[in-house]
Amino acid sequence: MKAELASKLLRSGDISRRDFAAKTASSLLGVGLLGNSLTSKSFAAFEDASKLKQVPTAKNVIYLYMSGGQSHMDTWDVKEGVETAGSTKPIKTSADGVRVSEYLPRTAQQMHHGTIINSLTSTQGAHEQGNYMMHTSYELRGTIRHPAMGAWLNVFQGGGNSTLPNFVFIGNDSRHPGAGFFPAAQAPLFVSNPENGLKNVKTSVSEDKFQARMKLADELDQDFRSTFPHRNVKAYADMYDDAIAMMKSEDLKAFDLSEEPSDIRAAYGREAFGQGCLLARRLVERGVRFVEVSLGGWDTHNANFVAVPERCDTLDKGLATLISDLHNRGLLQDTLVVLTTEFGRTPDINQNAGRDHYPKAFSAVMFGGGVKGGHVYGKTDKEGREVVEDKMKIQDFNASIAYALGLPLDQVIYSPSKRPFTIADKGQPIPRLFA
Amino acid sequence: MRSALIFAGLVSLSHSIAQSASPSDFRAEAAAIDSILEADWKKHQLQGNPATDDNTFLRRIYLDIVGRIPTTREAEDFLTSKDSQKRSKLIDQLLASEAYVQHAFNYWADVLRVTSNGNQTGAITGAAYASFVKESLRDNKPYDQFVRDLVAAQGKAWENGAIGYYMRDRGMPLDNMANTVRIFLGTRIECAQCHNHPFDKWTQMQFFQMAAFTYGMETQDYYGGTMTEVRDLLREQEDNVRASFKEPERPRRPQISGKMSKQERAALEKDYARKESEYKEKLALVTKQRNEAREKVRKEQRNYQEAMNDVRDTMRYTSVNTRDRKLTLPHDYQYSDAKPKSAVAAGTMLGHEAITKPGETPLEAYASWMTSPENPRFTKVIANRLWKRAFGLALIEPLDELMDTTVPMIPDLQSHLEKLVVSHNYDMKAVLRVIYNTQAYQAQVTREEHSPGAVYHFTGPLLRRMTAEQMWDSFVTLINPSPDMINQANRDAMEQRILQAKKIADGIEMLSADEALAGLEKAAAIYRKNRERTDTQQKLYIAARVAYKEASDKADMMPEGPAKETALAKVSEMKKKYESIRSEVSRIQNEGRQVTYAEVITPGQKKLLEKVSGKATSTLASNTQGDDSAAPAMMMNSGETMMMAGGARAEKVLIPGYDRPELSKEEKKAVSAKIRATYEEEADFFGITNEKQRRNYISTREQVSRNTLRAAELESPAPRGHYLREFGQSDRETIENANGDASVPQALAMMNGSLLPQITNPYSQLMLTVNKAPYPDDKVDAAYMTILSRKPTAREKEVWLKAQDKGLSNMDDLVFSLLNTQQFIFIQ
Repeated sequence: MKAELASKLLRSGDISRRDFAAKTASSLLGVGLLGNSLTSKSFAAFEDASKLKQVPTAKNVIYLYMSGGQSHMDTWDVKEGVETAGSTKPIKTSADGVRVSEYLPRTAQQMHHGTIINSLTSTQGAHEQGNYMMHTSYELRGTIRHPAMGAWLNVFQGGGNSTLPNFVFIGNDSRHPGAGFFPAAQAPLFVSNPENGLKNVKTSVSEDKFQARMKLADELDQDFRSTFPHRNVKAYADMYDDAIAMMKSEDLKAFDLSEEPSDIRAAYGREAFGQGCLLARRLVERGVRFVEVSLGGWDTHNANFVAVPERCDTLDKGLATLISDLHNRGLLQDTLVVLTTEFGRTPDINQNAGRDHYPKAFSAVMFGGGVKGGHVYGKTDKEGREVVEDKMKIQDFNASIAYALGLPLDQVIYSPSKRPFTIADKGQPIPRLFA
Repeated sequence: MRSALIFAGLVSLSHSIAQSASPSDFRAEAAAIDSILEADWKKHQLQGNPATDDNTFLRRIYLDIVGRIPTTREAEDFLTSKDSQKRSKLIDQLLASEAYVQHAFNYWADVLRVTSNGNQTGAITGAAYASFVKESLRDNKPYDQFVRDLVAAQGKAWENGAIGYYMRDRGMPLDNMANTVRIFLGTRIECAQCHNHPFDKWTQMQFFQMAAFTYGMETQDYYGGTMTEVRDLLREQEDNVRASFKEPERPRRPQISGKMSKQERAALEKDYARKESEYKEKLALVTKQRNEAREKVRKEQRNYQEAMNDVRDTMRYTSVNTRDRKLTLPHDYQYSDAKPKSAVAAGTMLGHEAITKPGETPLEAYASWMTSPENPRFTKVIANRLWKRAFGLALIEPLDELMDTTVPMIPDLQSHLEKLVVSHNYDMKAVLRVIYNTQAYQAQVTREEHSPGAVYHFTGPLLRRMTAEQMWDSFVTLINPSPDMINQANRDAMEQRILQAKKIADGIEMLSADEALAGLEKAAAIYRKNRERTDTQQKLYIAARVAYKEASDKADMMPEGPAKETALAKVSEMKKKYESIRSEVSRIQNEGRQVTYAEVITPGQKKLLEKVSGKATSTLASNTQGDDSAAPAMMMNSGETMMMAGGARAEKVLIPGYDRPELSKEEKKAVSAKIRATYEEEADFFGITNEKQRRNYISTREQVSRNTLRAAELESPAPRGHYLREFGQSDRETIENANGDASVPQALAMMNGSLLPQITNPYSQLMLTVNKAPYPDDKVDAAYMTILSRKPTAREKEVWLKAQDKGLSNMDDLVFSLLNTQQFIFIQ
């Protein structure tokens, strides 16, 4: 199915072989097999191009996913003087009137760059379903996979000017919708350990020997290739060219975190998440447009007030350093940093001193990328139970990210099974988030 | 001669083949297909492709039936044979092997989205589902029976692994029906779930009528009789508490008669009104008291729930049952044939009705309808699946988007294949056997590229890229001289995953509700204190952590010197302190579960052991694991004993039939001797005579057979980042989601991955073969034979000679280059 779709895409339109090669150069590890020129023709067979498309406020997204369901009560929406607050206290931040949890002292100093959203609401109270909806805007279904935002970005806008893949996922979370129904080439490149870099990019033999071996392979394969001048045979020859180009690429240095001064590395935090944030910055600097970094451990059913401060420690170092680092390098204005999770946690504290799943009201944060600084959007009641102001659905949240990237929200795309889909499932972007 | 030991899987022909067609029959049947094709070619002025040579056939048939390239020994056996029937004999031998099961599993796991890794199905049902598919293939279960088993699956995971089919779409019964219709009837109806199908004839009503057949299938956690009774007891408790507050008596309305005076009436009314208001007050009070009491009970019961969840967690997603549940149309149903939200009765979308016969459940009737030869699409789909497995293309593409207007590429062949499938009673091996014996299949692949959408006349198979599993299993073959050898330990572990859940479930059933409740009470007592104890520790923890951080910051600021060192030492002590509080929190949090195990699960298992062994536990020897002196080796009682909170002991109770019996020393020796004999035989074959080398060889082989397993022996799907996934193995998220696209990670893995060093290890099948060859020329021949199942051409030899002049002197170089050719991963 997919192979067929991809090959149809390759044959459609008037792109030349060279054009295709240029595109695949970055496509194989997950970048746009379908660049700008192909998109609307191939997928949106029944619709005109978008009218809602607007001027983007951000070029890149660094998407920090708090896996397991981050407690909004103990991070971004801290209450005072009510039992539901538990032992967590709010602190002042660099932005007037904006407060965050005492567990996030470094991030507090960056809040003038960001907007807290305290009015998210979801219908999905289980991890898998919640995670899926947050990433795709759609309900988890047994008959189709919906694409994640990075895949939509690939399809509509293609890559930056990098030989690196355009969509990278850093972390160990096994759940990710990836490319959804788009060809596999739109899936993120998965990097499980940011310090190990990319797999299999170094040869074990000398450069000369490697070249000679590849030349030998090429010569030994000539008869086969001339007997079968098939597209998918040829695709392999191209893939090898691309892989070798990749091995030699200067951009690969993005993965060499040892280039960074040790104080910077330490500031991000030595944990995989902190180093993942650092890698995300290095990737974005080199033109990668969508990087997700995941941090697990937020499923605090037990001993919430021990577990959350610990998680926050890791988060705080990585997030605060990322924001200030991006800002210092002038990258923050083009880079939207999003922090979100599948759902919040119950205001009521359970008998194991933990908090359970709570999709009804929870929080997310956005920094940079055209978003208002020092702002809080939406509000829950005194105890954090209900959204009382500016309720925001997951679809609206995702539409806002897509809006920041200038993606066409109303453009209908047909899956290979001929079903119609849009980027954020008809969610409405919230212009008030943006400056 | 092959060692019988290694190829234990390659036993005699399966019964079904032997029974369903005599040797001459399958030849005649193959010839019938060939003559239909020839007629078609004649009509279109085409000619069949030339026949393959033995080398090409050999490599192709191994990849198609057992999913890997042949080893050099296997290749030589075939190529040197003078038997005129050697091709059909090889086909039979391969179809009868365990390796066929492994390869066919990879295909069906992709179609049926088998996840043994726990996604969606849970790890227990996932493992059982994978075993069900493998066993069905091993038994060569007729396809219609296989499908009936799946779509009518009910029960617990350990009784019936086929329930994985429903568990896979847990909580999504409508999606499950859309998948069923797609997989088995080749028809896409998922669009009709929300509205009439825009491109096909299906109405939303038809979708719901179909869905109504299986809407009652309920996917649950197994609970069992005992735990259900416990739940009822708790509910009763709650009711009793409520009932203990007597409802006040309601005042009666005064009897007013016409004879009464106005005053009398007024007095009565007044009195009544007073009583009524008193009553209301009392009722409000009682209701309040009742609610308070109930809340109190519920709060207390929450502690029981925690303990009950500990039990339940061991049996997540393990039960599928039918329940009487009516499917209703959606609230926004927009067509005039029915009202929104009205109930829908089950009805078939095509063919005849599903009529429930006496002694049959409606679900069974539905399964029979689905798999009936009269069902116009059921046979069509499987005939195409089998054909496509051999030729790389179905007669109808895609085979799962059938419409009334669909015309097969060769209509005569389509109907012929359907008849063939039916005449063989859906015996998949028998049909494949016929197809593999056709001249058309044994012809060379077509040189021209087939464009999607074009009609193909099957003048030979298409050139195909190996699937991810074929690639991986071929690498396994290059490394492992006996690639199909089973890793029993691995299979046992998978089986144990299922049996351990069964053991807990059966054990709990041995307890009465009162016994279970008594055990749960002990755990509940722990949970009752959890909040308070955790809160206390949390406070200590937070204080200790703040103190540590302050001290740590201060110490960091101090100038180097003895004072700083002292401060740092103190900091490290403070760190230890808060970490010890942290572990105390974890200990408290785990205690409840441990008590549930010790007081509910273990007692149940002990009773189960008594029942199974027919002896009282007290008389059974209590052995600690690892104690070699323990008499009878096959037993029985406790494994490690752990001291737990409150002096509770959690023991591992070993029960025959649930736990694999510990082998006796002699048995262990026999097993390892058997495996060793295989390695020794390999060493003999490859001429490793030196004592030390032999030892090295055997230890390498032990490692290889532990670590280099065929795809079907690993979790399904393999974890992200595994070679299989880089090569395009399906993630099992949607039907047939494997992908054969070229990708950079794949090319990188082939050039620079960790597989190459394993393949060029001196004890790999490839290098053993190469090193065994005496002269340089023979070595090149051996490398070609092992990797590509053929000898090099003169030109290839010349290219290699020239390359040697340019510094590529090592066989590793040639191997690297051959593995990185495209001909290696394409099937000709």
